[in-house]
Amino acid sequence: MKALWLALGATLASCATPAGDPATLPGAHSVTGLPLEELLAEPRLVLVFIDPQCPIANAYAPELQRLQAEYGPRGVTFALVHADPERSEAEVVAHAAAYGHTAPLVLDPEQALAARTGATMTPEACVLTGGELVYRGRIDDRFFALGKQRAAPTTRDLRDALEALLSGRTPAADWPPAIGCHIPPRR
Amino acid sequence: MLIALLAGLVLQDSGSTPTFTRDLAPVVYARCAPCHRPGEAAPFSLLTHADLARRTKQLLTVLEGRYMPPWLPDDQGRVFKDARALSDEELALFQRWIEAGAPEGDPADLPPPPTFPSGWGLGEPDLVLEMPETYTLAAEGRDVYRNFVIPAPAKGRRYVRALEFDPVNRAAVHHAVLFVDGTRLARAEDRRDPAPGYEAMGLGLLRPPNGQFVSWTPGKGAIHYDEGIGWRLDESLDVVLQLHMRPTGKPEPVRLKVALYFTDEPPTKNALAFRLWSREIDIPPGEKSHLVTSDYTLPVDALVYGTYPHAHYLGKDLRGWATLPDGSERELIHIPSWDFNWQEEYFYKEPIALPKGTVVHMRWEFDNSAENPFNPSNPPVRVHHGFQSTDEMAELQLQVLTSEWDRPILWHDFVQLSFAVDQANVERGLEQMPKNQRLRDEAFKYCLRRRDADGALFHARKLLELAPQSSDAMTRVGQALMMKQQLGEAVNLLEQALALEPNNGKAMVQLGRARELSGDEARAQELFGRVLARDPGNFLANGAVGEHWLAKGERARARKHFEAALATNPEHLLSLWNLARLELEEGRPEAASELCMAVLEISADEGGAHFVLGLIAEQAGRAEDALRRFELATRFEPREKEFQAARARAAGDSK
Repeated sequence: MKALWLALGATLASCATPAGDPATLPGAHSVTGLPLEELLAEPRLVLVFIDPQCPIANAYAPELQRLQAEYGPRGVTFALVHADPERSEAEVVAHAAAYGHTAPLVLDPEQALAARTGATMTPEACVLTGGELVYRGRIDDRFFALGKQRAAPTTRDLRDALEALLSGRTPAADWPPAIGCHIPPRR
Repeated sequence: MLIALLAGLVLQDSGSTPTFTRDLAPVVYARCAPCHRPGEAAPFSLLTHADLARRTKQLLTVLEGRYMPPWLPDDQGRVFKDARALSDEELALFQRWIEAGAPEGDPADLPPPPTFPSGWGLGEPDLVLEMPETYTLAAEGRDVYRNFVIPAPAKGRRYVRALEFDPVNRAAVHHAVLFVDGTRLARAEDRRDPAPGYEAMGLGLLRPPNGQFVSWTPGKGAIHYDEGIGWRLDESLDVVLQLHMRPTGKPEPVRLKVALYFTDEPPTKNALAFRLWSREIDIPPGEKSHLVTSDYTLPVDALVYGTYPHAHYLGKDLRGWATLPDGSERELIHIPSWDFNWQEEYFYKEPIALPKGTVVHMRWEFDNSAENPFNPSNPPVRVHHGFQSTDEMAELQLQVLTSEWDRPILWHDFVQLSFAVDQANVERGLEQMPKNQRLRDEAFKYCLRRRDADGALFHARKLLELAPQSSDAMTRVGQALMMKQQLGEAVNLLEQALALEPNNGKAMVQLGRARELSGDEARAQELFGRVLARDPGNFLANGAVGEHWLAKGERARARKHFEAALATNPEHLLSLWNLARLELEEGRPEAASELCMAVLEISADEGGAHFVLGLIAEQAGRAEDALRRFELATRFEPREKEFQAARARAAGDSK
């Protein structure tokens, strides 16, 4: 998977200019914040796939906002990706307002970003650096099954990945899978 | 030949490719749509082929994991009413359909979509109760359990025959249970907690109305009681809603409504909820399988029609069953994978008749290892019985119907057993901490409730040894001596207690009672007068003064005091049944009977209420009923001379 991403990284880097070829990520576009090309050119990027109809993705809103507030100033960019083809711009903007999200919103109706990152669930966090995917999985282990929560998380996997990245290490190679909602496929 | 042919047809049918319109839709409409439709609790709709076809992966995950539809018992919908459970056959149908690519099928096969009422399902309610204030649920954190108090409006006594919850905010409200409280203690708790409502995982003194479990869980519609079943509501009661709320990721306003539908007819069948439970919970850290059991032998015939299991986060597996007098066993419930957050009550499709002498059993298994992700302590710690989320409980409540005459007997037996269990728990504490005054005082109070005069005297004397100069401890000893009919000694001691602390209201009330009993009425009334001058609402003093005037035939004065007692504590039972007696004396047997039934709904073994019901029956010439009532009165209050005399009189009459 990582190797595949490395190969695609070159394509991403090339579309990280205003003249980049939008056909490489068909349909994907920013709704708020930086244009997608610029977003993808950020040196350290966390794409979190979410969905307004996924209660677990919603339940993580405060934690995502804390992570953004903490790691934003340390050079990590956060963006929220909606990959359900049924979502509209108006819907995701209203959802962000309701849950207090301020991170850039990305619509991915053709699921091109989902395919590139391998994301299949919400909430699922993908960490990219220099175009390379270095983490994809759960935010933490608060949920151990659908609807079932621990009193407090015992591991905070996304945080660990970011700490590793910021201290120049490679995040751990085991990516614990995200627990939540399957992203519905395109028709 | 015919059988073979039919079998072949069935085989062929189950082998063909299922379609949404023909095969899935009826199951989806029944099992998914009650919650998965616009405006309901679930986050998305599951009504059409398109709704399902785009979520086939999710469907497989939640159905095969038995996460949806949410249902804890393993009955697959066979035993309990309104089960959301999916049967194995229904699960197999989903699996085959998804494997076949989720085909839509012939639109002509599609059954008419389900219709759900908009607004209240039973039409315009007689009364809508609403939480007095909006509670704001925080965006994240653990599930919140909170009680909200709604005083009943002053519109006289009515009986609830049907009701419906409207959680309003279905994303945040996960589960609601309705209780009633006539002691005003819930209001006091509410005042102590600055936010709307108060935090509570347990029931405290709340009780299910007339023994009925009343609750809402997602997908549940209106509750309509069978003829003769229902519960009383009047201004003496507060409705208390216990809400289980689940943070959603953003702050959520919560303000629940309940629609009530009344009848003027009092219920003719009174339910009774009793529980199997244990306080002997001591689970070592790391233990994966720890058993806590309890059993109870039924003293009367009972029809079990509902059950409510309860444990906290370490609960793993629950079994409830009954051993009938003929030795046969009958399963009541099995929950193989407990989830605290989906606790609810279950009603049997066919109520289970258990004859007198049946032993009902409860067996809870707990997992206090680190591998139990629900474990609130990491690393695990030793866990005991308690009401906090880090404590454990082991309970199985049963809701039963009995005959009118058996109900007080079951109630009394069970309540006495409960007191004995609670008292044993206190006594265990006293073995560890014999000088703990709070535990000693609790042990004393349990003896009072169990009418155990010797035990009460023992603990009161121990209390006095620990605090020889305590006016309260002396009062306790005086109270115990009064129970033992040693009035002279009681008076002496209570006078000493009052001398030690001249403003001790408790000592004044008890001395007043002792003086009254020993014939010194003037001193008694002077003492009660002093209490009431300082505290006009004191229900103990008002009750005692009311009794005094009632005995003298001064009914207007008596009524004033009973009513004052009930204004402070609407469930002061002595005042209630004395007021009933007063109504009877003034020629209103129906009002008297209604008051007695209210008392027996709260506490079915209140001897005074049976006594007054006996008087009513006697007056109406129903000699047999009168004798049965007086027998119950003396069974529960063997020391009351007036009850004994009535019984002897009735026994003579009926011969």
